[in-house]
Amino acid sequence: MRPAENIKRLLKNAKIKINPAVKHTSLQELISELEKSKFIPPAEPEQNIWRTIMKSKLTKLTAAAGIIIAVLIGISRFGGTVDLCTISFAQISEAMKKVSWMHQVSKGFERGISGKGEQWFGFKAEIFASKPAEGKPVFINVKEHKSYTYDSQNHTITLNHIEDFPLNLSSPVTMLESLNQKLIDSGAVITVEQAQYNGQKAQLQQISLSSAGQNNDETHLVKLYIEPESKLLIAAQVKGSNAKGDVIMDGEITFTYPSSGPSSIYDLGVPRDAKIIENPMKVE
Amino acid sequence: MEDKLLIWKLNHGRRDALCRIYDKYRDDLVRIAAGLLNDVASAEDVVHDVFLKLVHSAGRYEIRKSLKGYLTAAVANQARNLYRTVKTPAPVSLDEVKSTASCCPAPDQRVASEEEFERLYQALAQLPYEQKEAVILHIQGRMKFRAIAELQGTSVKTALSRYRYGLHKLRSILNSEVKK
Repeated sequence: MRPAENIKRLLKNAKIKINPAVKHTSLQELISELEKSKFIPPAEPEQNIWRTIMKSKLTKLTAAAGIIIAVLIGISRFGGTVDLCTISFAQISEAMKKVSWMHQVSKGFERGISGKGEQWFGFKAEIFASKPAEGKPVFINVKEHKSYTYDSQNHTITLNHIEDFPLNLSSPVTMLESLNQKLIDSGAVITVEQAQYNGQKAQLQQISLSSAGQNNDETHLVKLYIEPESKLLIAAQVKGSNAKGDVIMDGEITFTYPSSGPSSIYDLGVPRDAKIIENPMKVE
Repeated sequence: MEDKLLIWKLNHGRRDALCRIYDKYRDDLVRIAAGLLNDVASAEDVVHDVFLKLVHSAGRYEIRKSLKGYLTAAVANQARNLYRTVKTPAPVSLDEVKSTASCCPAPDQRVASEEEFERLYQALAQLPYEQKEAVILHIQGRMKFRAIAELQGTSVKTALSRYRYGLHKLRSILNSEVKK
């Protein structure tokens, strides 16, 4: 019998005769396509932690929710600055464990760019959905490693196979813990007081951060409103100003915790007759 | 490390990065696709399409694992889609397959080697697609069984079995031809 090693060796050594003309033409076409394509360079690392909040891109908004809630983790690590009589992070964390869905609506502007949209996080279902006011709705099923993006111009849904998702959606708490915690080193000052949000009693946690921005000449203030009974975050407000006192960023995110959320991209208002295009390339 | 840099450059529209990636991986990818499809021309088309998608996605792709593994998986996915559509691939021509060592041996040995290659590719064409895919991706693509399993949407155990059955069947086909 022909040993398996021989077959392996044959396969390893087999080469295809390359037609140089075909290879050259193909490369020229690729170069031409590269030069024609409109480039969206990848985002550079963020210079300050609040900038992400108002951007309308999927990854930015995904991070936004996380960053807002990551602040809560930050609070727990600041220890003594939080009054023990107030709602502690442990209580918030405990409340968050019971959450199966989180829905957030964000709106605001940063440096003249305004953004608005809503997102859903399904912790048990491991689903993320985003519906920006302007732009492409996205539905991600993390368990199935599938991402659907609707393009209204072409009336198509692109299906991508994803390897990874930036956030751990297995529970709100692990999602928080999966984030890069930048706040700890940022020198933020935190105060806690009783306040009202939309006429409703809430605990207000204010986090102010000076020496922010690329040139360390900006001041940012984040206000987190926590509902005293459910101990869940209900809203966050963010404001940033430059050294001259001009407001450069102002936004608000409200959070609700519904019992269910979208189960497909069609639940985001995408027409059911949109053509689905499968992208064979795996996006990791 | 070089691949990460190449991807970063490609994401910023650098044609030199595209040329380098193309030069580095294109021929191996064509060989893999040709093995899967039993047709060099279709294989070249598949690989071109994969590179075209890479170009169109420049600026958006973040590859955390190996670029080669990424491209191999993309070629395998694309080849499988094409296979399902066509399913009647022409056999690989003897003129298109050769051994890397074919320039060195004596003429009589070279002929034997080329005949061996032709028989091997004809035998490959007789394998069920999933088995052939497991054999080629593992041996030529140097993919781990875990990656093959993910690609085929199956368990590692099944991917490994497909590979073993594929090799076994290849041996049987080649041996029976020798006996004839």
